Amino acid sequence: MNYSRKNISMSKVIGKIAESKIKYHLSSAKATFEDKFKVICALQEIDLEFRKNNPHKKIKYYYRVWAK
Amino acid sequence: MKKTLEQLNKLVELRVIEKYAIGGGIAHFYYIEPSVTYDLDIIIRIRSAKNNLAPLTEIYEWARLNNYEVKEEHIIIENIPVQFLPEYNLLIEEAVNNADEITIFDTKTFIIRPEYLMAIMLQTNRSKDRERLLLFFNQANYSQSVFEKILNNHHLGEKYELFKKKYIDE
Repeated sequence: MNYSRKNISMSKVIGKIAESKIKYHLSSAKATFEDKFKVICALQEIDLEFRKNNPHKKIKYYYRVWAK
Repeated sequence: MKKTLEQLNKLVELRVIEKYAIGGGIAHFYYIEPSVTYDLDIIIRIRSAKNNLAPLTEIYEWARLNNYEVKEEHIIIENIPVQFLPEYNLLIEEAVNNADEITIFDTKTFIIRPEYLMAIMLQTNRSKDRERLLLFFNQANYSQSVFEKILNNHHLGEKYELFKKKYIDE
């Protein structure tokens, strides 16, 4: 995954992933789908924050995050 | 997600659709490392489309009756944007026929098997498909012989050879 986009701090990314309670690899052998789903939701939040600061990017479902 | 899956199963119970299987990004991330996706792609088989030119009519009617918002190509079911995609070629039909029954979020559902997802990615061949296909080769638990059989049946062998030459053998 590419976390190098502007306006997204690495600490935030790490924080979000830690929040998802996955402590090591996300590969299919090591995480359940429910774990992965939490990561998808966390990545959505990060992506949406990026898009908020980059309004020229296409915003889809800006107001929704599945984690809710 | 649990409620969304329950509603999909209800669509089968109500005979609005005959069969469904999770495809797209969410199916990919069942087998490989997850990344961002914003919708849930559901491949469906419709019993007998009353209107062949608008096969999703009954689903949209069901959505309206259940107060599910329609936004562009999605129906927002229990907070998740769901895109319903009728089977559009023989590979997809076969993939739905052979979908695995799984339980996630304590709910029974169906998902396209990895070998079919890989063949579909090879067939659609967008940049994100190529990227994810490489991850499948590295991370997914799949059968090479089943994958190659699918490729042969759907005339994708040449595409696979080109893909291997360009992205794997280098």
